[in-house]
Amino acid sequence: MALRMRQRRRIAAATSGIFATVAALVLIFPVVWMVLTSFKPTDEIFSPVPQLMPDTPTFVHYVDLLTETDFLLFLRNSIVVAVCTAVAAVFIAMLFAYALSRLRMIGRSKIFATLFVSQMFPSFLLLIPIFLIFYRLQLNNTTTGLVLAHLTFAIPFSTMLLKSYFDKLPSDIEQAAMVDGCGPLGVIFRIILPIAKPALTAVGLFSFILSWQEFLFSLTLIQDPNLRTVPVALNLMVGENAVLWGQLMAGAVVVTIPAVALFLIFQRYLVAGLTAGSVKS
Amino acid sequence: MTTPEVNTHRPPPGDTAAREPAPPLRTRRRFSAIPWALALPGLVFVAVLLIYPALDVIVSSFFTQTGRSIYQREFTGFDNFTRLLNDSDVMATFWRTVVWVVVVTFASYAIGLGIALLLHRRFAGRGVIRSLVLVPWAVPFIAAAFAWENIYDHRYGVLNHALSSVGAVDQPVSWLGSPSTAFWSVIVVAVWKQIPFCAITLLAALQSIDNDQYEAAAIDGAGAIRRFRSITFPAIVGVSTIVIGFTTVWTYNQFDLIYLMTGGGPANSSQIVSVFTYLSAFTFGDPTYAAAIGTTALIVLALLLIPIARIVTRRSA
Repeated sequence: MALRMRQRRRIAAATSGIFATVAALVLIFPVVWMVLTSFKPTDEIFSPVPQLMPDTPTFVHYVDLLTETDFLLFLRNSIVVAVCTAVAAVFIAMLFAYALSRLRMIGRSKIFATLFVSQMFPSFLLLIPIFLIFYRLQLNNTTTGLVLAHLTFAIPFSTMLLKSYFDKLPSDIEQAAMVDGCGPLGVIFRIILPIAKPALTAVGLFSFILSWQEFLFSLTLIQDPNLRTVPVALNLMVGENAVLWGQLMAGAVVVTIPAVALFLIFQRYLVAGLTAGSVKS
Repeated sequence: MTTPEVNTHRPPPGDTAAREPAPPLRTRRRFSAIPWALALPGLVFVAVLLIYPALDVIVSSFFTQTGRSIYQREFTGFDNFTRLLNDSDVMATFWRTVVWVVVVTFASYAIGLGIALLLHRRFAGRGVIRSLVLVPWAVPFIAAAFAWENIYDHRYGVLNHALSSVGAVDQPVSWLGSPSTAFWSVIVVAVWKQIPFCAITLLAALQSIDNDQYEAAAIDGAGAIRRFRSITFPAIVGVSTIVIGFTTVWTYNQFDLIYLMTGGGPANSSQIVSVFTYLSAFTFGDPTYAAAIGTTALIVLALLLIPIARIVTRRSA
């Protein structure tokens, strides 16, 4: 009986493994297709019989992207915006989350609820008033304006994640430090900062990715071609000529690599933070 | 526990998980400005760039633009809303958005749960498979749109080629170009993007179940369906609420996929509220009407959000 059960369980596990592998392959197929297409010469992309693997792999689309378009400029713009967003979000969110998690504050739960709701605010709704506010403040068409717009999702998101992290952190050390006469700012910078470094890094990198791939604000708030970020620039390339699949795919691969890499490294924090309190650990 | 050891004269800490977050040192203390000072940058930001704009949209929806500038406008009460309720394009868009949200949420939850149950079993290479499943979530929307547009391509796409080579279609289908297929083709992409979040979050919940429960149930003769109903399902109900809530809101707010892949077309056949609001404000130049559509959208979203926010704040505050 026991043996039969073990055997049956082993078969069930193997079957699960096979089905899970098939599901995973189906899920990553579009990404694999995108990567492989970016290495196909143009005649293979427009072949009536599409092949998975390129016959004669080529870097020509990547080279074209760098030499025939201002891709490097767009890349630089994207990095500047995403880094500024990440740094500002982590700094503001760290102080905010610490106050919400540790300190006695009137209306703490109301502020938390507001943050939670605003984290889910649709960007398409905020876009109209933000466009008008920025127009008045002459922030339209500036990198600063775009960073501020990206902070509308980066700050609530980072604060929620960090608060849930601080809530789980034991507070003994901080209390000992406070007994020894350390003020809240001292506690944050001398104790919290070193302990929470991995969490702060994760939150910063997520803000980076969110900003890096953001499309709607970047599309609307930036008109100057020299300030464009990569996602918007790539989309505009679609309209310019006949569809240059090779270059578009190469650009898509470049946008995807940092996002997927950082995501896979730090995803544990994200899943834990987003569902804070709902999963028993 | 990985808590660093600290040499204090205080009694050793108890169960860290069960402890209240940071009991105050002094039981009675006067109003302190410090928490507010720390929270100030965040609070100011939220007030100026989240709460004020949201209120501004609501206020603007009661005005109508009279001149070329948005600042030339007059109060027209509920005019925009009566116009909206009689605008068949808007009403069709709202209904289509409901279909969009319900179908994407239901499909990605169901498929995500299936994958989570598969990944819950121990098998060789599970870690790698788990990472691969996550990938679509991480792919930027612009890249996802390009990859799928290429797959869906009318003449050179791999999907039409595969379907015609097995004889499933006689003629290549213009997946994104025909009104009967465009909407559903983008729904497939939205589901594909959302499956990983559902799968991984549900998997985390499944893994918190004690395995002994299953063994005990199996020894007592409970079948697979009974075990799912009595052990698995109760353990994931809470997380499922969160997963469905997040997916609903994210899908409702989703703009990029429809805008990039179809622009709402052809002939509005794939139009959803987010894209419609954007186009009304920035392409058709009617920002006050767009504000009214946005306000209506916000009311619909709030109805979805209130119960979810209640559950989450109750659990984490």
